[in-house]
Amino acid sequence: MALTLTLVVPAVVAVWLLAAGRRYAPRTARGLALIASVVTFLLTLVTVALRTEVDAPWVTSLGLRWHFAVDGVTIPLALLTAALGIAVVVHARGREPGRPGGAIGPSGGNSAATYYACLLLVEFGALATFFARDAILFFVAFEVVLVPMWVLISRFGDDHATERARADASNRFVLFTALGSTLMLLGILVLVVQSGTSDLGLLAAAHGAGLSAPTQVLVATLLVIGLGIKVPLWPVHTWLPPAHTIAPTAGSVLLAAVLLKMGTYGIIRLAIPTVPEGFHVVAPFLAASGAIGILWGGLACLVERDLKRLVAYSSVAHMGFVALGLASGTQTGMQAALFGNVAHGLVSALLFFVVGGLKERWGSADLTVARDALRDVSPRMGFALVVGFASALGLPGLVGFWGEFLAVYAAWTPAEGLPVPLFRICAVAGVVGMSLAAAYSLRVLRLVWAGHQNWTGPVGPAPRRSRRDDAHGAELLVVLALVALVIGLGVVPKPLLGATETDVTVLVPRSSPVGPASSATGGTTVEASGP
Amino acid sequence: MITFDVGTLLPALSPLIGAVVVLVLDVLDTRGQRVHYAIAFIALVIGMFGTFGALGAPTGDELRTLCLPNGGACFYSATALSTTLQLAALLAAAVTLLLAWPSERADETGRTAVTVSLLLAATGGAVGVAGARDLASWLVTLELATLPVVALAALPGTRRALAGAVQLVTTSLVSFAMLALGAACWYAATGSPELGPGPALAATSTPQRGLLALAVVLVLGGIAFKLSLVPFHAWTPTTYAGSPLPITVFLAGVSKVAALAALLVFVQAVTQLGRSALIAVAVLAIASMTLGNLMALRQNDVVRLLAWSTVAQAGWVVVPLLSVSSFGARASAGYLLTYVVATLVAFTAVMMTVSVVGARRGRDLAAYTGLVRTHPWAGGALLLALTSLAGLPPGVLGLIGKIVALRPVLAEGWWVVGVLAAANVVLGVAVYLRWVRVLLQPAPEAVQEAMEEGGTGTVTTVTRVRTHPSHLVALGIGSAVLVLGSVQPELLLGLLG
Amino acid sequence: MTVLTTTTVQLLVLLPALGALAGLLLRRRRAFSGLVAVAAAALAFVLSVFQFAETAGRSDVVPTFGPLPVGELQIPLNLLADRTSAVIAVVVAIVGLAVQVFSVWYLRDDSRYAVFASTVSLFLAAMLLVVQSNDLVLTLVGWEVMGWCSYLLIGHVSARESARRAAYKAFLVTRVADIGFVVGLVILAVGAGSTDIGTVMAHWAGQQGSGTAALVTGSPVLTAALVLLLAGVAGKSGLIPFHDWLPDAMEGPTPASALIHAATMVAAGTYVVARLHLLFAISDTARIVLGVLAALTMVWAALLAFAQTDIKRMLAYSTLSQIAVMASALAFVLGPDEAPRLALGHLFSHALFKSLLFLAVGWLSVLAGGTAFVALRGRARGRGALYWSLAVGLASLAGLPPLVGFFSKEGVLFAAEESLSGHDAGLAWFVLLALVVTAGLTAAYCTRAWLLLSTERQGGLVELEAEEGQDESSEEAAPAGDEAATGAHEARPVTMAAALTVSALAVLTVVGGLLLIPVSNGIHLGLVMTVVSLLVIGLAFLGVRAMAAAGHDPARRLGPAVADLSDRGFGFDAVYVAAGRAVIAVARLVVRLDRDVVDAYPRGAASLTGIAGRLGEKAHRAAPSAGLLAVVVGVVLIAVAGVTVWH
Repeated sequence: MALTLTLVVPAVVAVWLLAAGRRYAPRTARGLALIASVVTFLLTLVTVALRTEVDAPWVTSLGLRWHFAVDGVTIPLALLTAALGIAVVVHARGREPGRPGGAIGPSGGNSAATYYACLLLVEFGALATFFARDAILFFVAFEVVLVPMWVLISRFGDDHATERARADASNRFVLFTALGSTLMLLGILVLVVQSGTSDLGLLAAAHGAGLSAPTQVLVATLLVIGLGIKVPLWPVHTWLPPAHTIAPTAGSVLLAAVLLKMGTYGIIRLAIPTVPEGFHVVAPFLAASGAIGILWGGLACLVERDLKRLVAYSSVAHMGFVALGLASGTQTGMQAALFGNVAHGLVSALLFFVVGGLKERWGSADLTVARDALRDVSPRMGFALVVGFASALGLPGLVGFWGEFLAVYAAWTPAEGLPVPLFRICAVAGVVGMSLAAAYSLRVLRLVWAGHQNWTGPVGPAPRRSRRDDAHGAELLVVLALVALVIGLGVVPKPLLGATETDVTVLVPRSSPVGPASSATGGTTVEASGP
Repeated sequence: MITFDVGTLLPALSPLIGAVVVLVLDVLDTRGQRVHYAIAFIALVIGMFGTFGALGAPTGDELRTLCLPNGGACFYSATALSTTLQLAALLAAAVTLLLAWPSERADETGRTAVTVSLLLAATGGAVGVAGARDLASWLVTLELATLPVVALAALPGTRRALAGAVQLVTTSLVSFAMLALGAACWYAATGSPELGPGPALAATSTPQRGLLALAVVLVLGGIAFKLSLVPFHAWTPTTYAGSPLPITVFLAGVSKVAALAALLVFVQAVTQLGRSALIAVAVLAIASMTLGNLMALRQNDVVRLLAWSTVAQAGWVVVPLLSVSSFGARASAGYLLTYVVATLVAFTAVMMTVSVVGARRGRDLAAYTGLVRTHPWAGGALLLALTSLAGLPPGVLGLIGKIVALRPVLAEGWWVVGVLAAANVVLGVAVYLRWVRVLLQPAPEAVQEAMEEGGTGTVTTVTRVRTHPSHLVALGIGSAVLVLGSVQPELLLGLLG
Repeated sequence: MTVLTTTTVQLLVLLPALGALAGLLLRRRRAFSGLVAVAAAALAFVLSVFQFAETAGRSDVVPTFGPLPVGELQIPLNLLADRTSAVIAVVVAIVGLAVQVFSVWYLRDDSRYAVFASTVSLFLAAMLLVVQSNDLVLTLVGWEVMGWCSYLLIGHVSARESARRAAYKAFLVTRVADIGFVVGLVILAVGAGSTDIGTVMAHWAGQQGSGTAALVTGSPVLTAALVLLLAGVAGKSGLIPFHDWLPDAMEGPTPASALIHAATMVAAGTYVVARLHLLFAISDTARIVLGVLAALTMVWAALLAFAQTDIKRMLAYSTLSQIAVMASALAFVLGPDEAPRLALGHLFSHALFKSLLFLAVGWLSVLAGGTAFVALRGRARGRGALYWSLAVGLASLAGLPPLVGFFSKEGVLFAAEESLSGHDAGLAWFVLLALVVTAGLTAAYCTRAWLLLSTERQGGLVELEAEEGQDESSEEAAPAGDEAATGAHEARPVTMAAALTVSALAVLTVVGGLLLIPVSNGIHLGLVMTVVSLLVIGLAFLGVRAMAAAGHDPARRLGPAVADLSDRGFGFDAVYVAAGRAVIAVARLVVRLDRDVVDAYPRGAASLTGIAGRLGEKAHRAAPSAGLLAVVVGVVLIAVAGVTVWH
């Protein structure tokens, strides 16, 4: 019951806002949206606590069931989504389109309600995707987010960009993703037709039993390519930077923190357990593309001029680590991937909130423009930026580190039968990527936070000119919450890892661990190796 | 003595009778026009009631009639599939009439009776062909569903209309030729006029198997004209653009249903031949999808856009027939339903816009700028219809349709075709979202001001003044089905048994 | 293990971290943050002493969050409390406390003092984590966090581009080196299936046990892992070729330099190697690499130190050289972990006297306004405590008995001397030579520094201008030019606390020799080497004295060209710059590929559809004929397809 409500509430409120919202003042619309998102969050908490499940027939002629459930793999992502659902609504305060000083989209008509409706619809789609336990239902839910996100980008995108640019960015997003999801659908259909059920639980339990090897490979390929477009994996990532550049802050946040996760989650949920043999064949390619993505994104960030594009490319790099962990096919790899998923969700959300805020203040996100040091002008934003990028470069003690380190470890010891040399090369690439991340993160901090080399104005702590200069009110609240999470989960990663542990063992059979040698012999060696 | 079950035949009979009645009445009294429409509606509604008998019946059992004595062959049968298609045809016809009403009232040339009766006749044909089980009635009803439309297309007498009609008539003739040939081959192969599994099965063992195959393929070709599959599509854009909108709606709705119904009759007759790689279907389907989308992508005239989208959608309709089985047939019919609903809604919205801003401007994409704001209901319905055609939520119906259509393809292991279809999904999304983008843009300044001063409520009323209630009804029916179908697709797909 | 120890060790790591957090939250209230910082350090000191008492003769494994559930890999996240960790913790805490107390005064005019203090506290936590860690992951965590704090502190005065650059450079160089470190750790962990240091060592050492041949040369995998590990160590400890970041790091406020870039972080590498020395004992290759790197670095850095025009840079180079000295001890295998003890002994003493020197110099720089020798010339005279502190510090650095530096250095020499007979005698000779040379050079630059600080310039104006002229550069790029130093000076009398801190360190430096005993259990003096080194030192002293006749700067005697070049570290920075340029070039290539190749396909597809559509329109304009043609084609196609494909 709670689960159904979790999905129904945002959907219904969104539809209501679309239908009747034109008459609402922005604050009314925001009020509704806020209530909806908060209620959704609470319901999600209840759902997670009670581990509720819904299973009812929907389209019987397709054998498609209305089947949603919760498990450890779902919980972190669901909570992340619901929490960010609140965050984006809160953050939009005072930024609504069509109001003076509204920072969202080209001013024209009072479309605040539409804006909030789109946010809620994306949240609804994401939650449905994470909860879905039926392969085809998963696909349907997967598709739900497309149009609202497309509207967010094309209609409420950066008003400095031309209509043409907005159209291009939004179309790239929707077309790439549509291609991906349709390929995924093909994979799902082959899988479902061959194994006679679309219930993910049964499919996972079967571990591909009764599916011929070629079929498994076909399914795995279709699924991984299809979902990989969403992740996005190199080389199908080129839709991401423009989308992020144009999208409004909330759009970027949801895109990076929620939508990308649907791709990796899909691989974990659909591909790995259902067609293990097939995935085994695809894994090396997945690993390679992940590793290339890590280096590719990191290098691109080194010379990128637009801050939002830069963060987008860094997303490509970070998702590369997740892909690497998935490809390793070990439980450690899964844990790394799941943790990395959430970690990147938090970090990219934080970064996009901050960077988006900066873009609103600066009017552009061009790094080559010299501005006075952020740590002087707006210390709070500066602090958030530092935390964000420190986490992006995988600084231990922040959330980014664990996923990436574990992914590297997992890649060094892939599951039996996978090409070890390739995976080790990928692991090294990953570590190199971490230092590339350091390079670009510090580059940004040096230019933006510490002070631009071409800056000629006065330096040193400046009296704040206006309240808008630094994060305050809703923005401050959201940013601080994310900072707290980034640090908290970075210092104490155990809860998050523990949440997913048991279910990972279901998804992936344990690969034989390397037995530690007896320490007795060790002792003798010490004496022997003395002079 | 041949059995004759009125209940079963009612759906087909009532429109035909209605047509006759209309003509008779017109002879008696040339003035009443509403009367004609009223009668027409009554006829259609009666027909719809007639279909309820066999709706949603489990596959296999059927109501047969017109049977030869002592258990001989039957010339008419109503399965869940066929009756569903009949219902679809009748509903589409009703919507068409609703849309035709105002424009007909506008001109006083007294053609109303002719139009209405022709529409009813064609509808009757369409409904009949779905049930026909023997060559003769199959052929006759199929042509009955086609030829009146030619007349209707030509009726306005403008140059464009005539051009369209000519194209239509040429194609119809070629198509008829092929169908007749196909029928002949069938007869030669099976030696029986009955379009059923029995004769086909009997023929498979004989040396005339080849003939049988040729028959199927020729019929497929003939139907391809009516479904406007590439390369038999050439007439579609011209005729769609040339004919008066209601007729276009009829072509896009009822005619398509008729064509597919006819095809399915044939396909189901040969299902017993077992799994067969109908590569011809694959080629036609993919070709039409691709060309249709590519062309639609470049249209600024919304009617032409919809015409090309019809071509593309036709590809989707036939693609499930790759698997020659009742499974494939049901899938194909299921997709057809989703397509017909969405298209009718789209056309209704176009119709309303045309009636607001005038025929010329109403066909221009630009006229739809900000429609969701200026006319929320039309705009919303159109948005839903377009997303459904694109196969994206909120148009869940279309999305489910895509799944339904692709499933048999992959069940048969034609994943290459699947990948090509996937590419076409992307093209389709591009096509329809191009229109959706226009809908969502801020309304043009003039309308904006109107909204500012008059408050948000008035504009809709302002336009509604000029919108004929029958349009609203049509829109209501269409979008109701669309929304229900999106929330619970089983409502539609379930009918197919 | 006693509950007491457990809580002690846990708090030891936790408190400074909490202190950092609190300091950050209280940053508005300067006094508070200062108080918090000092208190945290003080508590850490008390706890470390307590641990020292607790761990007499035993070692305890201390749990933290409990093991991480990450599938096949075991990550127990334990700490270890034993003699070694206890001693190093003590010295870290001492220096940390000293620095915190000192910087209360030193940075009193700095608007960002609170942030500074918190960062230092955080650094302390990280360093103590590394010291206590019994888990490779925890080591890595502490290791990286230290690097981050160092980045923040170097860039503390971010108003200066030079400071921003130095910070960037420092972090990047170490991070690049850490590529090796991480991969090394991963390999070690993979072998053992666990990151617990005990398990890891048991596993690898055990593996070696099988097969006597392995004893001579470690298994290639292990060797690879250790060498990679050494790369990371070299990065943090500034061994060649990663050494050049440290002198630039002197951009940071002097107290930070004292703590991070002299006493603790840069020496952490030595500590990690010492912890894993069991494995290095097995792998000759790894030890040879270590020894050679150390030998080269100690001599090279000592050479460069001589001609520095800025005392902080001179101290930085001397740090490089001294770290190399302690590292070199680890290249040898004596009795059961005897070599590590000797190395850590030098770490211990170096921490004391080098932090003393830095703080004293910081104090002096405030009085003199700058850390360039030009500014400091003769300023040490008549400063009482400060004067003596500097004297003691330099003497200890030079290795004069009975100061702590002397004993620890002799310990290292002893290690090398002992190994001359061992099976890595070649390495021993090489290192020993380097050590002796370094001893001389160290004495030389200490002497020079002392002369410059304590004697007024009587030389002709010519030389004066010459020096002024060439010092301009180093003046603006004033390393150490944190606001405190370049700001108004004499106006700020030193506080008693700060003065006491420096003096206390001085005292420790004097009596440190005794404290050394528990560290490297007992004093190790090789008679021969002692004599030799003392001779060398004496000669160097006299030599420099002679060069400095008439108050000349001995360095100028080398000829200005050489002097300037070595002042700029022989332009080694250019190498890094070149590397950076190369990477950027690759990056540009990647961006171009991303735009013109990877993204070409989608764009191509888009334009292709456009073209196809246009063609399609052309084809459909010619109405019926084309239509009919298409029809015919279609019919044929259908018929053919039908007849052929059916069978």
